[in-house]
Amino acid sequence: MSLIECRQLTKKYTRGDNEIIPLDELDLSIEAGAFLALMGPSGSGKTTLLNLIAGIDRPTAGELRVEGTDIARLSRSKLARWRSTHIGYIFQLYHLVPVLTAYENVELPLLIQPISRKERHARVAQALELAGIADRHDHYPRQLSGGQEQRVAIARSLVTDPPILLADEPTGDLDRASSKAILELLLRLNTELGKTLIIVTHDPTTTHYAKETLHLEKGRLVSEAPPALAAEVKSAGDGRGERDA
Amino acid sequence: MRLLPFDYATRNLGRSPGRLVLAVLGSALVVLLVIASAAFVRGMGSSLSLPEENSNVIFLGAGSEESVERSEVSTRAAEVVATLPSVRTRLGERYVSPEVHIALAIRTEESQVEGRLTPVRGVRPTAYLVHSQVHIVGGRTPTPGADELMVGGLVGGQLGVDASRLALGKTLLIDGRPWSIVGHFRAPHTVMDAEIWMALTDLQVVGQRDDLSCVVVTLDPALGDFTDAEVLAAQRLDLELTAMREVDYYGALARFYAPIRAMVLVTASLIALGGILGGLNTMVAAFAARVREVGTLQVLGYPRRAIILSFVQESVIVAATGALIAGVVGKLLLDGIAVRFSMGAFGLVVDAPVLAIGIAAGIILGIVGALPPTLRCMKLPVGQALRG
Amino acid sequence: MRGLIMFSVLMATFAFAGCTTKDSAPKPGGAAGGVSSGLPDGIMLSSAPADAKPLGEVKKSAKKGDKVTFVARVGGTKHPFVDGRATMIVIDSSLAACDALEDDDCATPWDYCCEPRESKTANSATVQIVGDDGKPLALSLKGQGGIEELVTITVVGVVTEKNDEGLMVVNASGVHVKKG
Ligand SMILES: Nc1ncnc2c1ncn2[C@@H]1O[C@H](COP(=O)(O)OP(=O)(O)O)[C@@H](O)[C@H]1O
Ligand SMILES: [Mg+2]
Repeated sequence: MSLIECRQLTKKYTRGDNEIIPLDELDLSIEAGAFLALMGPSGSGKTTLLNLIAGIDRPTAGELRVEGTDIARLSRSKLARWRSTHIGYIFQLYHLVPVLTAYENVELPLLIQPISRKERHARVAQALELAGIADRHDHYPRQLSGGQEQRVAIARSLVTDPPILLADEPTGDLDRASSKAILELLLRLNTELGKTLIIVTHDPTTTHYAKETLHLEKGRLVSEAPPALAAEVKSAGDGRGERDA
Repeated sequence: MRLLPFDYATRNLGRSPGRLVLAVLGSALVVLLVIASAAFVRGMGSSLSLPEENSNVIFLGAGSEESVERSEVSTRAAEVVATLPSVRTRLGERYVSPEVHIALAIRTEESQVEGRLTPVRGVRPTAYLVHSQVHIVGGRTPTPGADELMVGGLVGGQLGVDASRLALGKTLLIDGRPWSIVGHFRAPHTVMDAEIWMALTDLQVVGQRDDLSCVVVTLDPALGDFTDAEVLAAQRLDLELTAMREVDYYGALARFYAPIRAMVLVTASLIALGGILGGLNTMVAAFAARVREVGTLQVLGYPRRAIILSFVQESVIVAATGALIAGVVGKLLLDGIAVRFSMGAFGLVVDAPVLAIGIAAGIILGIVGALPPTLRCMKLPVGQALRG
Repeated sequence: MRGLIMFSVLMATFAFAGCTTKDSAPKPGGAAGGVSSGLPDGIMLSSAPADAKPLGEVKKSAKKGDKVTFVARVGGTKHPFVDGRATMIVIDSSLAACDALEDDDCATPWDYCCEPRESKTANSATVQIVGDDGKPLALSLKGQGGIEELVTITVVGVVTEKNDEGLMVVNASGVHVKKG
């Protein structure tokens, strides 16, 4: 069985009379160790899919199994606990806590794990090392560049050693050089640590790193980027990615 | 429960020092107000209540149960009262205090304006036996016929003058005639603290009266009780007396002033409510800026309760700090301050219970102020919070 | 908070006071004789003595030791009864109680507050029921056989104290309460 299994996965929002269907009966299997790039125009449901897999949102219909667990059935508090050990989430805008140092930001997910202080310290140091940001451990987010902030965020997603890393446009706010460095880091996490990686991106260079690229449009998978979309992706690809609404 | 570290809350407070200072001062102000009203109510209450073991009986003129200042008691009645068998006696002294109470316009020598109406009590030495709460803290008791007087601890506040104007040797003017201050006394938490005392005969001369306002006696519980005093008053219709327990006399006064206390409490609660609403507004703004942080913490696996608790911690730290400041300021600035009211003055009382009320108000302010914006913040689904 | 508590306590007191007032109101048809508790037998008279005069008139001429019979109303002061002692204060019926003057907001009409002090003193007397020791019995007269504030009574007794300043104490041997 695959690591992540989506069957007829549907997410629907109703606002008064009109319905928004960000995800429409999606079928998708992702194997352990995959490095999947998820592309598609703004509003096509990419973030929605990531949030469902992360257990942040619940599907309206369909089935979603991660490591065999039907996560839609878990209670909110069980889900939070499950997420803290299974999912590492990386945001476009890093979402670091401004009053905490790099070290403390990375430590944050571990404070709710039943481990000793010593082990916690070791794991934070290791994660910072892996993310290549150990030398800045006592810096506050405002003292770091965007690329460095994202490294801290990646270290934070790694520190609980989850099998799955989800990244929502992780390079969307970074310049070309930093983007490259971050993508290389993510690739290493996939190849060397065997993390299953799903990256939402507008940046076509990501596809060079990914083992597989999928395209979403209006909540459905399309086998290939239609010409119009390819053009949009291309123009968006150089430099800054388009931000979600 | 998996909690956020405590210093997560404290450090977040340091994010915007300006707002922090404002929030602390704001809650200090609200709490100070609560302390001030509690001190008012407590001060007024304690000045009109006497210790339970008080076994004093006031003989007033019949029909003057409400006000000792309107009461008239003949000297002959006082002599009869003094023979009441159940009166306490110690070392040959009978605990019988004939007294004259008059409110007189008093002013200091330096003052040019008309004096303020101040309760003056004319007493014999036995008054110090009967009113055991009175302690002479400086100087001596006034000598009859020497134009001398003694001032209570709240008289300065009552007259609105600095304590130095009432130092020993200074002069007070009554009807233009100088009286020298020869003594200071304290009778904390009683109406006497705001009074001026002089010799009984002197006040009779000043007030141009040869009768008394009341006779206060201390009963010896071993010899008899209040009923004896009542029977005496009932049997001696010719003396035109009413006997009242001193406790009941002040209890009636306290009931008379209950509406004022209620008004103070209502006003204070309204202002405190305004403070809470104002605080809420600030909190809503402060927390709204942090919805994304709340979302992130939830993605990292923190349960909602932990986040709510941390936010409430923040707010309670602020409010409790404000409350502590208010407590210190209240104790230093408000405690003992004289509040004038119709029958003299009483001192604000900032004691442990009042401070406890203040601190409790601060903590409640912190919780009540934080919960609505926090819960509002939490209601947002995580996915939406992250988009925010 | 404290205000609220005080307020509710006050309300409760009022409610309670309201009830007790109702309960202790003179019971219609309460027999005058024999129902009193603790009073010596025969004190409460079932029929009014024939030769009673108004208290004011009696007081003018009475001397210590005289046997007197007079009519008066209970009152003349705010507290005409002594709690726990068989002593009460009565006043001549010709004086106007406050309720008679349509002074409707007077809570204690029996204090005759509208009368001058001197006329109250001149027309009042202390009535007591004494034991063998000559002291008032240790019981309250209020409520005994219908005795209440402003009730008209006829007293038979002996003057034990009297002076010209207004003192007059009568040790009663018989009291009749006028009904209605
Ligand atoms: N809470 C919500 N309520 C209503 N519509 C939503 C909500 N969240 C997302 N959407 C809509 O779902 C669609 C997909 O959003 P999203 O998954 O963020 O797209 P992408 O990440 O691909 O840009 C969009 O049209 C968006 O407006
Ligand atoms: Mg998106």
